[in-house]
Amino acid sequence: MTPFIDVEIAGMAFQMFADRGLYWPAHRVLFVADTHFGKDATFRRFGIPVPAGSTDATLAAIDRMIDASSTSRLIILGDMFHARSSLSPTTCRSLDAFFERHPDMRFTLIRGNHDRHINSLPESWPIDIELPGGLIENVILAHEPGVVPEAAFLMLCGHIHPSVRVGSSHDRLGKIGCFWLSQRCLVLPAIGVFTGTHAISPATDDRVWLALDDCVREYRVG
Amino acid sequence: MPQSRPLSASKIIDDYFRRIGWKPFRFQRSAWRAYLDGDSGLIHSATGTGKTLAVWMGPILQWMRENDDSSKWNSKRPPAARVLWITPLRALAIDTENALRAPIDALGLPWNLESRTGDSKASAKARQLKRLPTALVTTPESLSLMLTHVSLIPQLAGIEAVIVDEWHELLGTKRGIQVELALARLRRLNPAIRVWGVSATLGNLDQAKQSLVGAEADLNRVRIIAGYKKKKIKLESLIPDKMERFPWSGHIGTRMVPQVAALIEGVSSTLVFANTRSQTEIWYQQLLKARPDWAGRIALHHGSLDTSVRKWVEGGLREGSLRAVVCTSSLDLGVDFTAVDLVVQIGSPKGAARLLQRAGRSGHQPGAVSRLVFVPTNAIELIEFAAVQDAIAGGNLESRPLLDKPLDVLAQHVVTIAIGGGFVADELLAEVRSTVAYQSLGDIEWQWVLDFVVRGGSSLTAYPEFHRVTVHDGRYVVTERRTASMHRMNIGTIVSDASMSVRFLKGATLGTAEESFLSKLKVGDKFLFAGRLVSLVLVRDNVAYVRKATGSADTVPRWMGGRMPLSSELSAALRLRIEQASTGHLIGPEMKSLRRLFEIQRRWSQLPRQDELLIEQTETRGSHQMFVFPFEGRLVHEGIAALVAYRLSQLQKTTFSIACNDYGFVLQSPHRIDVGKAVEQEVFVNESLVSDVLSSMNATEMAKRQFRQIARVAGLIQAGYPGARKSASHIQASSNLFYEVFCQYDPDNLLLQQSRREVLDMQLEIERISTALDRIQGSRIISTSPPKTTPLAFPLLVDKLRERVSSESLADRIARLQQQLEKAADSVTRKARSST
Repeated sequence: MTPFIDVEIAGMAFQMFADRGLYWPAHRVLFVADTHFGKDATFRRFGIPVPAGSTDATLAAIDRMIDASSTSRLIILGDMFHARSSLSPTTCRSLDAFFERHPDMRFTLIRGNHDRHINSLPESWPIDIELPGGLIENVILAHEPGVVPEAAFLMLCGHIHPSVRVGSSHDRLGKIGCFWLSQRCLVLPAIGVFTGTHAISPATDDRVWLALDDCVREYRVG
Repeated sequence: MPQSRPLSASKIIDDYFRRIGWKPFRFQRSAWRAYLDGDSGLIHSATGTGKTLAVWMGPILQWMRENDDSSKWNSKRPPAARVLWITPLRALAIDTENALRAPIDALGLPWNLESRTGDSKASAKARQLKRLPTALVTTPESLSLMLTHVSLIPQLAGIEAVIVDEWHELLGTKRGIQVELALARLRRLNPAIRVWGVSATLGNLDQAKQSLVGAEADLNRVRIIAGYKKKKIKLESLIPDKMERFPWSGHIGTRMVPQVAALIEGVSSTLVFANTRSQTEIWYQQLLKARPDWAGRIALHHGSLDTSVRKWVEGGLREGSLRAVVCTSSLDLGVDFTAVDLVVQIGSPKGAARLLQRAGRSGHQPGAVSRLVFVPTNAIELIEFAAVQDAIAGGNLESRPLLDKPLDVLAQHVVTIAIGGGFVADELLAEVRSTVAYQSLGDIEWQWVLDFVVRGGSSLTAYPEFHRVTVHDGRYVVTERRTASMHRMNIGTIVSDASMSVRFLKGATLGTAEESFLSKLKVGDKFLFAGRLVSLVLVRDNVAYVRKATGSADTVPRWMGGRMPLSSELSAALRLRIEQASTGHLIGPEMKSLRRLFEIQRRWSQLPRQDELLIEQTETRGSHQMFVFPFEGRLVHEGIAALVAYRLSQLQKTTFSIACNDYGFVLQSPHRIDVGKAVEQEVFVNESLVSDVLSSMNATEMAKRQFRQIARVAGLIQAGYPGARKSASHIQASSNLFYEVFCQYDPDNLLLQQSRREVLDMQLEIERISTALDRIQGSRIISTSPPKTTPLAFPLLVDKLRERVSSESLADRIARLQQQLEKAADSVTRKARSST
């Protein structure tokens, strides 16, 4: 079981997972952002020794959330692969197995800035690629955050790998990955295990949820 | 007569010395003789006089002996490469080159002398790749880089002598080990090579010598030569005018500004050493405020200032046009400034060797006295200064502890050699083991390093598609040009914190400050930097733009960089001084000036003898403090404090906040600790020290921080260089991320083990903790309950740098933080409401 909490945003009910995904029960869609599959392979390709295993761990997190929900569609909000060299034989084998595990699932990738090499994806993979800006109900799907048009209720995106620095002068806990809601734009934390984070400075009327190991917890700002 | 020829060379040298108004010292002559005999050696002295010529004239004499017919000297055809001169700071290369050039010119030698550092022009470097100059001044990093060029190997094989300047700066560091490995390579290319080191006097000169010449050197052919010994040194303390009002704590000490200004006025040129860069900024401002007419005639110097600023200051010191320069250790090294006739040390020097070296920066004319005045920033420091004089008088100078086979440096070196022509495993292993640092390198560790560079990790873990070093017919080589050029860009072991340059809007660069400091500033915030008051205008592209400001500063940049702990030699001397005070023996002006303070300490509590451990307990504002005074230096106290807090919290449920300084530590808690019971339950014992320390401190966090350097040296993090294209961004990751990925997917990686070992050995000084605990166990515990905070305890009570020992979960700690924030917010609102 992977822990999650129920949250209501713009009048819609969602579930936020500690595994860093967002589930929308009304549409049975699971959103994740910035998987950066095969980043370890890219490093190795360039002579930097990084052990394999992070791609499988990221996929396992997605599996856990699929098992804990009634997901029928997985949407990756950009940056699925890290670079062209990420599509190494080991990475591809891991992805093959993932797709085989979920034969009835619909997969969509919202194209992100790391997805330039998307044309070289194996044809056997059952994944649709969409440009950012598409809608489900009044929710915009994107990779990079932006201004949300009046007509839309919410924008879901990634790209930033948001985290907040948590601590006081007595107790420093460092950067913790988070969901960040700002001006009707909800930024998901990067789900990729081998990815860094960017510390954000949320405004006072923003909302922030920390993705901790064993729970999701809202962090009140200011 | 043929025998007279060698003599004529020495005669030329004697003539040269006479012309510059000097007579060779005896130690210089013995160094030259040893060199001509083909020996290697180490020349040391506490204060530098004539060390450069002592090592430099050897190779010159040798060449003149071999080429005694000066009519055949042709400066258009300089001799092939003979001498490598290694300097730890590339900023010193030009000064060094000038110092070495003087005798070459005066003797009319046809040698060419050049530098090769990170600052050298690409065209000069390319020319040198074809033909090295007769003598080359270079840095450890540039030397390693040279080893990656196959074309240089035959020339390097012809090198007759390597001279390592300021060896004490490199010894015991990863850069020093980088030099050891490079020297092993040069020795292999030319087994008859002579290696000479120049060093300050250290406690472990034998180790310093051995590291230089390697573990297998014939010690009959290696000399240790003491430099000029007759230098007179005068050390004195500036006792505050109103001792009874002088504070018991603090570390800035600007109260002493008027007295220091008066001192500076009495001499022609002063170096004022402060312990931190922020302290130099504050002292510079305060001195200017005290003597506005000194504007333009005093300056400041620290490592974060722009090179042009530093060059200007150094020039002013050389010419004697500056009255005073406030500086940090940035002026510990380098060519001597003959005009300086006084050194002022503000705050504790923390070590005897360091103080002695600083004192030696003054009084450089032959026969002149080196004079250092110590300025306390709080009363207790005067005891330290009394102790430091004891250590110097007793010859108890600090040692530079050696590092033991760091695998990150070795991995880097192995790739360097693989690029520079490749190697056969057994041959390189023998070469590596000939260094002192790696003489105990095990077969398994060696195999791991080879696996690391060839496969990425041990053969049991998966590192598919990895290519760095490849094996062809038993020869390890790098074939990909990309790998080679990336490695060259990242050679070295210096890791600096992320920094930004600070620039005026109009263009002039002031220097660099740490990103962590600048990111906390808001636009318009005023801060002291490079001796000016500036305000932040904007931050763009890693540059903080500022403009001049008026008024007062909101803040002073705090540059990271460890505060030095008190050395163990100085700690021992300090305990002796406290024991003397406990029996009423106050020897010397420093101790006498503290008579009243000692009386208060004795009246309220006690002064411990060397075989006693003082523990004071007080209660203020509902919390209990337990002060413990082992007098062992800050790092040791951090370790012991965390250890004791951890063990106590196992016995009794409580939370401790901890503060430490060089004299002791305090544990503050909501409950009173029963000292007698605590000692009974062995909170001070040495048993299971390592495992308890590791569980008591946030050892994972510390290892993560330490891993940063290791990841960089081992080639995981590609630093690139300033101005490099950002195209490599897809292979950038933080060291934290690497650490986590390794912990998760390759937990047996030896680099992880190394980071833990480095935390224990270097950050926590586990050896010193162990020795201290042994000493404490043999001591009598004196437990007192003073009516007020004693002079010894006071600095600990006001110390704001506190650590906590806690066993709560992350989520719990966040919840508590949130509560605190809300409480604070509530009280602000309440105040706002009540004020309306």
